[in-house]
Amino acid sequence: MYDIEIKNLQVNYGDVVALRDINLKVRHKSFLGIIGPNGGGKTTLFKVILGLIKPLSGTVKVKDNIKIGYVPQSTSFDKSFPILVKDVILMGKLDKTFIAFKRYSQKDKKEAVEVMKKLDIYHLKDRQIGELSGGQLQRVLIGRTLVNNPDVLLLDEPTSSLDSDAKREIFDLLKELNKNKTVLVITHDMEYVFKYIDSLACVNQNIHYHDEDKSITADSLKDVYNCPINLLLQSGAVQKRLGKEGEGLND
Amino acid sequence: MIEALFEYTFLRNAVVSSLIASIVCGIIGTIIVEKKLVSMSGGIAHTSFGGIGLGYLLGFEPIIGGLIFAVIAALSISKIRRETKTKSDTLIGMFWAVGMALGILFISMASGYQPDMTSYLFGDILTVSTTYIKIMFVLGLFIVFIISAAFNYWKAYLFDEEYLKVMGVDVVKLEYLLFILISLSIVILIKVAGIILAIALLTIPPAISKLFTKDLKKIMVLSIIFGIILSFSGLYISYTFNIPSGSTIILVAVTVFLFTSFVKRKIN
Repeated sequence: MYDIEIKNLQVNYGDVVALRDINLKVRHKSFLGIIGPNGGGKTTLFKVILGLIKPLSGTVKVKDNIKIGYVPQSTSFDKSFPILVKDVILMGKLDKTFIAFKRYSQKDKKEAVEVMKKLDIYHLKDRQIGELSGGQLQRVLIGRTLVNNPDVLLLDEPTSSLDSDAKREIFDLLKELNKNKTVLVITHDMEYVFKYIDSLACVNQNIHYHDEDKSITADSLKDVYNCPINLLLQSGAVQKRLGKEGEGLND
Repeated sequence: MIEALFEYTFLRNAVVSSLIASIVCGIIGTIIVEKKLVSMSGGIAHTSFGGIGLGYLLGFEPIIGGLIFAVIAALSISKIRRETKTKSDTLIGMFWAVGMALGILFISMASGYQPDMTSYLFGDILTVSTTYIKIMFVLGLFIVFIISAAFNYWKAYLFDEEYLKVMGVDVVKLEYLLFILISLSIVILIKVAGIILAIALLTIPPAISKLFTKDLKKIMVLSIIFGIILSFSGLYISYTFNIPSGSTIILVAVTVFLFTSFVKRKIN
């Protein structure tokens, strides 16, 4: 049984096809990197999994009793909004069903503190979110979903616009979380992604999926126009994953 | 003015109505500033003029007409935007102008005596009736109750609506409810500041408060305090020099905002 299973998915925005013929099976505790050009439908794929967008056809099956945690792009909200770090974390604890005058419980608050300590952002708890560095903000967004203890994490470009140290720290954190969680990460950071992931999907309207059992071949990547094949080949980590075709291309 | 306050009902009403207006403006004003709904609120305010005109034409309390038009405008803009993906700015512009046009048309059709519309357009706090105070009080209480009962949800909604949706909260209901609250606030403000000036009363106190704090709840509380100080001093000046109350309050508020931000910049 897979954590997430997508079959023959098609998503349209009006007349424009955003995704088509998407088939994807995400194993439990896998670390899936999702790459692809801008506008290729990566975020749309996440939104379908989250149920924010209804597909035109096809099915998205999420295993029963699985909680999905979402870390949106940090450009999806206003960083100058007057909210403090601790309040963002606690937001994850809001109930689906609304009860008037319900405040966060002591248990909620204790769990929020634990998560903040674990992510090393506790000392920032009273800062407004616009006063954080990019890496700190990402930790806050990850913390907001971790308070719910999700089984699957979906992260949309968590490392864009971070410096290389912060990028490595975020990927190290994800690897740590991957010990008992399935992680799906959209990223453009090829040099990091191959050191951490165990499977790769390239999304550009359709999907090219490479799991552990299949090696990534330069041919299959070449099919996906705009995928930065050269960049992939330059990364030492990926060499061993690439077959003969890869070496050939490098020459 | 203090002795006059005890002597004249109209002055007491003016003070009570500016107190209620300040509380409502502090809360809803902060929300519309943070959610970037300022032009939306302007649109709702101007559309309500159509209802006021209809009230005159058909002979019922104009402010009730204004209330109904404001709520219909708010809900329609929200619904049409969602279903047709027309930019809300465009829709707001249409409602804005159509509301004003209908208002003027209805009033011209009303037989006999043509009422003076300036008190609705620019506000006339000294003519607030005791009935109107009662309406303001009930609407104000409703707004305070709805916002405080679900404060954490509102904060989350204003900050990151999409995340709330992912968590399974019904965001559409929250949006409709918020738009209704904005409509109610505008109706409360019509007599105090008028349709045209209401928007300033909603946005200036939060703008001043944001210079001092970066916490949503504190911005609301400070905005209420600033609102009360500003509207009372505006009222005092307007009474003393016998000049229009709505304009005075707003000019005082803007002056304080400019002065405060200037001083704040000097200090930093």
